Amino acid sequence: MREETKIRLRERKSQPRKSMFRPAKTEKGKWLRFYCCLAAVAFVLIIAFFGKYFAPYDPLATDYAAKLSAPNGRHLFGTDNVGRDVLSRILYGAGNSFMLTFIMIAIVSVLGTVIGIISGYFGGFLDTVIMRLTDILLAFPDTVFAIAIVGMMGPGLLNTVIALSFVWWTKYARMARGLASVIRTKDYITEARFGGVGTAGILFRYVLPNIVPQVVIMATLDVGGMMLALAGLSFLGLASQPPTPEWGYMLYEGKSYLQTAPWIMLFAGLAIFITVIVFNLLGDSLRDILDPKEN
Amino acid sequence: MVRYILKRLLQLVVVLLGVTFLTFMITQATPSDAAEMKYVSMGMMPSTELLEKTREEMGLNDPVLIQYGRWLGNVLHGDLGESSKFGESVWTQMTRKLPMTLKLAGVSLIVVIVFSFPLGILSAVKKNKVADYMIRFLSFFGVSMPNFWLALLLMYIFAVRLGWFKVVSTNSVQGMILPVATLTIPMISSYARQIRAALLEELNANYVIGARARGIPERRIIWGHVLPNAILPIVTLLGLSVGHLLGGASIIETIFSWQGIGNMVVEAIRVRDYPLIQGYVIWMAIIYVMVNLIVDIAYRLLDPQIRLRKRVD
Amino acid sequence: MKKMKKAAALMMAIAMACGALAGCGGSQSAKTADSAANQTTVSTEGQTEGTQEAENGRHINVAFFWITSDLDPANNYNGWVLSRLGVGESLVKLNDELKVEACLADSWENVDETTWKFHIREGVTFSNGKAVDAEAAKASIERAISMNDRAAEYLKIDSMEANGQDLTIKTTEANAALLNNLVEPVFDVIDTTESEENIQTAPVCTGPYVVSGFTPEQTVTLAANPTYWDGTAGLDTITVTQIADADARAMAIQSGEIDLTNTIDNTSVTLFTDNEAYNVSSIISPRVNVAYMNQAETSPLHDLKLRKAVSYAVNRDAYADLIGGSAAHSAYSDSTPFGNDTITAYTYDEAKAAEILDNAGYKDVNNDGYREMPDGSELVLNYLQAADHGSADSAILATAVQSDLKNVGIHMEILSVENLSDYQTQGNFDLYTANDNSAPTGDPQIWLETMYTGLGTSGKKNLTGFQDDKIDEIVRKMSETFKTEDRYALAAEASQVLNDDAANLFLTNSYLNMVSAAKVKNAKQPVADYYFITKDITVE
Repeated sequence: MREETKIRLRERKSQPRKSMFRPAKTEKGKWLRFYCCLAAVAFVLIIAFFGKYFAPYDPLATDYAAKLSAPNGRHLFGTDNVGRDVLSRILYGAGNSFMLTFIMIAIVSVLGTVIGIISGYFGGFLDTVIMRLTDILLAFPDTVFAIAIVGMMGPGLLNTVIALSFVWWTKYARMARGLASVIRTKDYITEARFGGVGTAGILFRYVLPNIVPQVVIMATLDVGGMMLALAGLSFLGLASQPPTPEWGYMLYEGKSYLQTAPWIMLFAGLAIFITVIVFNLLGDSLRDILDPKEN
Repeated sequence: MVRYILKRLLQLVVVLLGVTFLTFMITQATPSDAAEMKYVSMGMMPSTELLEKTREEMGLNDPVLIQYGRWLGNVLHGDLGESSKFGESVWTQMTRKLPMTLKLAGVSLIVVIVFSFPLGILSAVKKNKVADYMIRFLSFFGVSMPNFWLALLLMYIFAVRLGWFKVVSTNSVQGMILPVATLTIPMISSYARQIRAALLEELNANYVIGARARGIPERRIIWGHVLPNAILPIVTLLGLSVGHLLGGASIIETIFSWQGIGNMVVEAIRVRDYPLIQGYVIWMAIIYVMVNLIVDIAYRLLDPQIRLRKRVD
Repeated sequence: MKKMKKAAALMMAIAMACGALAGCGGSQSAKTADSAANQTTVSTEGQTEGTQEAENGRHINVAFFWITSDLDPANNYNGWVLSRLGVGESLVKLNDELKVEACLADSWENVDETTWKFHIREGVTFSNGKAVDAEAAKASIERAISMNDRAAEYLKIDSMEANGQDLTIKTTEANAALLNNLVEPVFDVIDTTESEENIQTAPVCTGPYVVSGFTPEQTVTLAANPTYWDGTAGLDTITVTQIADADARAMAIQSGEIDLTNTIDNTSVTLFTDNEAYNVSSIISPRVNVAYMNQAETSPLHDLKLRKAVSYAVNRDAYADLIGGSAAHSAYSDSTPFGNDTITAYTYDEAKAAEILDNAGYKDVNNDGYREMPDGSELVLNYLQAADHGSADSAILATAVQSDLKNVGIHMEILSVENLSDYQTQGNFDLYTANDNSAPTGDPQIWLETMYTGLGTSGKKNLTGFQDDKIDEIVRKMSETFKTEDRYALAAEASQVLNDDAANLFLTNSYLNMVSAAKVKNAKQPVADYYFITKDITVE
């Protein structure tokens, strides 16, 4: 009974956020909403990965004569302190920001899930060790830990990726562990085992498919959070390095021009804001579809 | 219960040992060592001989485990070393600045509770009504907004343009409004939604349907049964929120010139003041672990009874 | 019902925990403030502690970018803060032409190569009423030397002798820079008979203001010094707050929280110029933005012709326009009196740069838009930029230099690094930038010695491998040249040699900006940046 409570507690902590929008009443409505969100995300992704082909200028080309010009016909989003085109930098920056976010999500979700499944399915000593390890890592508030790692290893994009990944995988590990430890007690697993299916077979055919949807939901919802965390570190000047265009860093650069050239900050901030919203919406509707037990 | 607490305390020791070891090891992995940083932070370029001498003096040539043991011993005596950036002991720095951060975090936590609970409950009770839509819509913006962006916009509008608040947050109610607002808006948004979801989940439980069938007034069902039951996950949330508050404080403190440890650590990172960074990490970990311990104990104190009662219902 | 109670109890517990957390935070910080206030004894009788508003009396709020954790001038660079506060004064001071002026010493004499004699002004007292005589000055200087390596190195003292108001200093070797070096605030004269604790929180000095309250790294409150020797202070009380961030300082003065501050970024200064509500005082500082060029054989910049071409290719005036300040002409800032107007400097000339490159055989043989080395191998210059979080200037300069060199066909890569020193010591760079003070004490020797000879002893070092016998000879002469004009002439000579050698890219001289609300009068940015608050500053 006591152990059970603890497991419940852990699962609570690691469960994805609850749906924020009105749950669609019909199955059809759910899918419609999902497609809408998907289209929005696809649009953002197209901009992220092909945006640079639409960029009107070289994001690194300086033009002293046109420095700090307000949005106008030649520069739709204005220019920055050395006359670089803000729109072009946002379009190029999108690729960098997304690439990093996706790499990090990929690392933490795969790593976390694998470790979680092993821990939950096999249990025993390994489970204890892994859970204590996550205990230790969870002892650091995530931003604090990321700041600390970056602080000790020195600022830079690679170190930021390492720092954030180091903390975030525990979330996935705990969720996967919780699910795996429940699944392994199910009757169909026992039946499969009696039917001669090997451990690998069970893991791949029965355990993994039950966990993947949850991981996908969590990962989608995490895109926004990860992007904000990355931007936050960049904003403190701890992540991205000049002159690479990256949204968080553009905010950092634009900070000094809040009053004299607000467009530098405004557009970069909006870009982050919109992206986070779109991914949060998709994550929600994805949950509606994949996780019907919520309603 | 006593046994449970003892067990948890034992775990705590293990966790804290791990935390200190990890903190220590990360410093070991840094490209330039403490001896070098000591000089660089003073704007000096030491010669190789001087560096070697300093390394020997600082004991940096000893095996790692011995260094860790020595360091841990010092830490247990409250000696976290000397901050090169501020030219005084890490302990002095921490004791001066930690209260400021705790104050910011404490006030923010109260604000989060005061706002997120009523909003979450209202949203759940008035499900799919105008109030619910409004709250959900606004909270959605709240969670998606980069908080430093929000901070600068608020600062520009309310401090510079309107002059209602101060740009440099002082230790006063008026001075705290902007930093607390930026720190809490994303959290209130997120918690209002989670509280709503937790309540809705309870509202769909069998015992509620049963109670309704028996004609118990809706008000009594919500206040007497649903709310107390939904409180458990929310307590957990609050525990986690302390971490968010402490971590998020770095950005907010930097923007609002709040003299807390978040601001301090960002400065420390810039000049790579390792002892200070270590001190920060250890303190944060201790606070966070303690808060979670308290939350877990509270959870445990309440949980069995409530769950039992639920079954009876 | 029991469940309700439990829930209510839990809620209360949470609320209490929060309250305790907040309350504890609050009470602790209050306690810290209290104890800080207790430690700080009001050093002059009849002075009330400066308050935030100070209804009665002339009061202003000032923001510094840095307040130290203690105020002992002998400790680190704390003296700079004490001096900016208008509390600490040294025997001599620098004027805006960076020339030495009398302060606590009203006359001095260079008896022979190793002997200096200072006469301490009659009638000067510390703010506690004690007279300042040669003995007090000696004790203060000795204390600084024993506590601070920089102080020891600046003076090279063999012995000191105090006789009434006469202070005789003997040096171990000829030290012509001693007079200038004495202006360094590390030598601020303090009453050394005070307790160490008092020296750290409220040192007793001779300036127009005295410290009446001190919270480390946060605020200093000042009150007028009634026993000030040189007239009266223009204000009754001043509250000085630390605001580290330049943008926050600008916004704080806009919102009226502070009345006076300095080191406002050039971009923000436009908010205050042409605005009647504010006064702006801008000067060119002794700081120079330099792109140091590696002259070791491992770097392509070993070739003088390439260095010259690069020197012609950069548009210094445009950079000055971008980050503020003025185009640099020599290793010394134009604000120094070291004869920059007599030397020939580089001007922006793209055609000339191209011509030099063509003649030296740097041609684009593979048609990739960039020139190759004369031997046909690839030419890429690595430009290291310290990730300087305080200011965007170095990043802007890097981008601008890169783009200018591209125009003459030179390929330059920017590397923004945290551990710049690692790269520097390994000689692993072609160029690196720094914003350096070319005359920290108003004297040309230190700078030349440390950056352009192998003689530098402390602090920064000659990392570019620059070597020219002519410079070594000039430095040798300087140590034995005691006449100021002659020293300046030697400095000009050195500047010319450095330009002929295309030693480094001297890009811009930086501005220092002081902004005050219109009601504040006589606030002027001094050229030496360890001065700030003066007796003349007052309010209407």
